[in-house]
Amino acid sequence: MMFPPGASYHPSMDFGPAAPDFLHDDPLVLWGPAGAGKTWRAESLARRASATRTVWRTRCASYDGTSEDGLWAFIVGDLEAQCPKFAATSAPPGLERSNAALDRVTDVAEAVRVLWLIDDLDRLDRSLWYDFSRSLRAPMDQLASRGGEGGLKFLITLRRHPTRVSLGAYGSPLNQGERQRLDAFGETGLRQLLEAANLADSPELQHGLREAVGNTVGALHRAVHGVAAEGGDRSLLAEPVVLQRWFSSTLAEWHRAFEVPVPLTSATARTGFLDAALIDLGEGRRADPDLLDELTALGIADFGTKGLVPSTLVRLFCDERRARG
Amino acid sequence: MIRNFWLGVHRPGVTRYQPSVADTTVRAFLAEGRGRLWLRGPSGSGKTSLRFEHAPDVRRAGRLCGELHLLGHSSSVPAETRRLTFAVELSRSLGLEQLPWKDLLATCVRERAVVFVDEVSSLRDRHPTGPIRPDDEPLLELAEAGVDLILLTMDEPEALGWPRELPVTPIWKEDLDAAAVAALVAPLARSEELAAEVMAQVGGNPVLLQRVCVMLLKRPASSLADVVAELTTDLDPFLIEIEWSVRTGLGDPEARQAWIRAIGAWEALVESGPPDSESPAVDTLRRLGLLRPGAPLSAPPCGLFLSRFDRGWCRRIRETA
Repeated sequence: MMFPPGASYHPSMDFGPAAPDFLHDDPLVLWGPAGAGKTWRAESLARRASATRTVWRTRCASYDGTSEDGLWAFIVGDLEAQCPKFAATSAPPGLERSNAALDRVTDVAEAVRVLWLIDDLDRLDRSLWYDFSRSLRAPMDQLASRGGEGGLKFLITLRRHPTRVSLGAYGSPLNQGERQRLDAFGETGLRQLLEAANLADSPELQHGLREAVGNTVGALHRAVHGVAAEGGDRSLLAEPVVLQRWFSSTLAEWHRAFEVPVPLTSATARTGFLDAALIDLGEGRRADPDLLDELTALGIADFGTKGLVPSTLVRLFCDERRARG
Repeated sequence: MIRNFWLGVHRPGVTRYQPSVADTTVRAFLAEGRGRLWLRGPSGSGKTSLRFEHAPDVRRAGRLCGELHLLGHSSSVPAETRRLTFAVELSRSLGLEQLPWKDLLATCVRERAVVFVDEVSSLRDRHPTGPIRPDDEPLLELAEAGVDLILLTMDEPEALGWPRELPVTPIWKEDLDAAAVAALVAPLARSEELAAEVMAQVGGNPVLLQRVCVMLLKRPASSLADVVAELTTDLDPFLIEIEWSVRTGLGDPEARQAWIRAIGAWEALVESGPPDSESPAVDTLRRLGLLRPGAPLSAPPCGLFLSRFDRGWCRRIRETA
């Protein structure tokens, strides 16, 4: 069964290798660029965990504010809606909002084992990464200090390397526990995707797909869906106009990211706009680390090579940026 | 089941604990000491694990014992709210009914309570502008009232605006020897030789020791060289670079110069071996964990750091200065 690109997780989407055993007591951080399949993998893990744990979900991309108090109000409202046990708790009045919320988290997690899936933590406003990620360590430690396995397990997804997000966050769970990088989608998974779309697998088709759109499961899924919808004609993968149509939302997201300056922490770039990094990488130079980090998070640059992802789609986007001047 | 190795914080009864010199200091303080014990170690050096290991013993011995985890995002919160939050957390941690603040302080002193305070480095965020005062920071008020405190932090007291001089005890598992590591990697072949090689790579750094051993035990077919190569590329590749960049990015010429000197000291070490004498630059390297806190200057640094933060890395850092 083939789901449309961007569809929410469904168990039949468990393509690729089986999710690892992760239900020991340390936080698990899944990180990788947009489209790497972090949310799918996290949901797959959460589904398995739900047999023994209450699963909470916080979708950070749904909070578009910049205030920390506002973020905690959003989280508390969200958890109250998901979990009657959480809604039934309260904290002493007059406490700082974060402490009050975390007290309630600890109360519930002490009574029932909780898996807290925090999806896309680094889609929050950058000003919130540090404080929020640090706050998460407190309830985890509080429960662990009472002995035993503890009742709260974090499953966190990020686009960026955990160290980037928890910079200076000395108490963060991001610098603890297991960190798994999701990036290139494997051959077996791609074969399963092709089977689900009723397309005949072949080395040529796999190669053509990767050459056209790169290696992330999100991009490959979208391309497979496109090829299937067009009757299996793989020659379309070489057509920029077709890729423009299939990937219009991706390209639009990339362009939007390029309109906003990135705060720079070093003095290696003259400008915080991503076009500067695109030019540097296009001409074989090293890009500013902050800009490169953003390009990597978007899936335009590759974490390993620190160069542009060598795909038709990325070349197409570069051409569009040049055309926009 | 006791797990030999884990990632994250040690959990009593679940993971096996490796004591260090700091444990001896904590025991001595708990037995005889009064006042403040300031324990300093870089991220991942085992500060929270140390708290988890000792606080239950204190309680079992019948002494009132609290554990606090400071959160750092309070600089804009009124002092009264901060004190109320602190009092609620402290009362709860001590297992007491909620008392008025002054009564709580008096109870702690009278009962000779000891309080472990984690993430004391948060004081920097709670009071970004300067020295802390008892009327504005309940932790200091607790200290000034004479409550016994074990403070766990990455920083020196003065760096956090702590107004009193305190001796600092470094946390580092420098006394963890190859025999102890060999026992922990015993399921693997050649465990004794392997342990010695692991120790050379991690140099006593607890978090790296965990990472290397977990990877070896999970993938017994992998060689140490494979694991080291993988860790070298995933070894928080930006950590030091970012820390440095942030500080230079602040536009503070003095801080920038201090970082340039620290990188220069590391580069000299990579090229010619350990430095001859202590200096502020060496202290910066210790704070980062590149050199072992509390270890003699002649102690070899962690092999993984030497591989990752090599001459090329130093050159790149200097080029961007």
